[in-house]
Amino acid sequence: MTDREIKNMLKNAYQTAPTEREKAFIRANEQRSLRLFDVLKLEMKYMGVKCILSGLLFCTGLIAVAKAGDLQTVRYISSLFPLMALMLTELLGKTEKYGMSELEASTRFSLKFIRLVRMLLLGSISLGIICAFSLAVKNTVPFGLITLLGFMGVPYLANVFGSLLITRKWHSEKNYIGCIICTAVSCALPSVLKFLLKPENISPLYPALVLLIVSSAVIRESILFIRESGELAWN
Amino acid sequence: MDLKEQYDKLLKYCYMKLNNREAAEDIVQEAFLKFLQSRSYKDTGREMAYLYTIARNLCIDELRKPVTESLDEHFDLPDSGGNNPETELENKELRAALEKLPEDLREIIVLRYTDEMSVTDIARVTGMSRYAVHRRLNEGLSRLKRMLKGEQK
Repeated sequence: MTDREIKNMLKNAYQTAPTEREKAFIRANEQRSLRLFDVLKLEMKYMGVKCILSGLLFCTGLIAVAKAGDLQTVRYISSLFPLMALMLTELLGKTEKYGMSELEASTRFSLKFIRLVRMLLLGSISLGIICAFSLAVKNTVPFGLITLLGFMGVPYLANVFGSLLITRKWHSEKNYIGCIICTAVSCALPSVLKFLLKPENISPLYPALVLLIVSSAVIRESILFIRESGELAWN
Repeated sequence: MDLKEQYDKLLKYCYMKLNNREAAEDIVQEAFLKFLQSRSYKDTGREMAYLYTIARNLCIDELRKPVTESLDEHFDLPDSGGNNPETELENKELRAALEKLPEDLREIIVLRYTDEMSVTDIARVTGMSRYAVHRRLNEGLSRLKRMLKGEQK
């Protein structure tokens, strides 16, 4: 008998069939042993490949248009980014829209956890798209990357903030209408800014500052959203 | 962490230590509850070693308790998870040979080859140096080989 054979035999030396008690224990404690990354992987499956692929296609299309177009095109494209925020809010509202709250609450994850994970996933995809776009068109525009990121990211983040605030405060129809209005305002924001500011003439400090303020507001609103809407309405 | 996989591995280890499946399962569940409640393993960065240390200490406490008659001494092990009779016979011989080994050698061999733990983690759990673990592994394996060869003759 070789060492390898003994080692192989040792793998099953104390093997026993799982008991009901073991299965019950694992079921009850599975969530506690999960890490955020494990749930991220699970949620990726829930979101579906279609959603991720359409995001990538959207980004590729935008880059292609921006590369071929002029500065004006790049400016107008920033008006489209708030639409991604609307998609994000819509996906977050899926639970309520389809009356899934009770079902999801009865699963091994808490609603708060599910929402946190979805926001992390969707937010990072959207911000990834904005960053990729900004990097790709960096050489097309006559101003720096920070200014570009500010002009691209602020309308999107403003819409995330507004939509989360509306979702937290209002429900059902009021919520949908509010989110659409907020998206429309955010989409119009770059066009309004175009008349007020010329990106090539302003210091990169101002866009960076605005980006910081809006990001902080989004983070605060996200925390409140998770904390407050994580509980079931009827509890 | 794959709870099921770790549960199975820890159960094998505790079963080896206590020779009583029911008691081993009690210890495994208690160890997991303590492990999941406490987050101090994050500071050490060696969560498996931490989990096994909890289980090991609980097993030592259990062995210190007054001896009660074990059902496993009278009955065979429960269904061994779909093994064929030949494999089961080999496993019985192997377990019998393992029983004849000194406690420290048996523990290290089970941790290394049954639970597939790294030598560094074994050293942390048992409080030995990595060199001592290597030396004991070689010694245990060669003793086990001699015993199994003897039985085959």
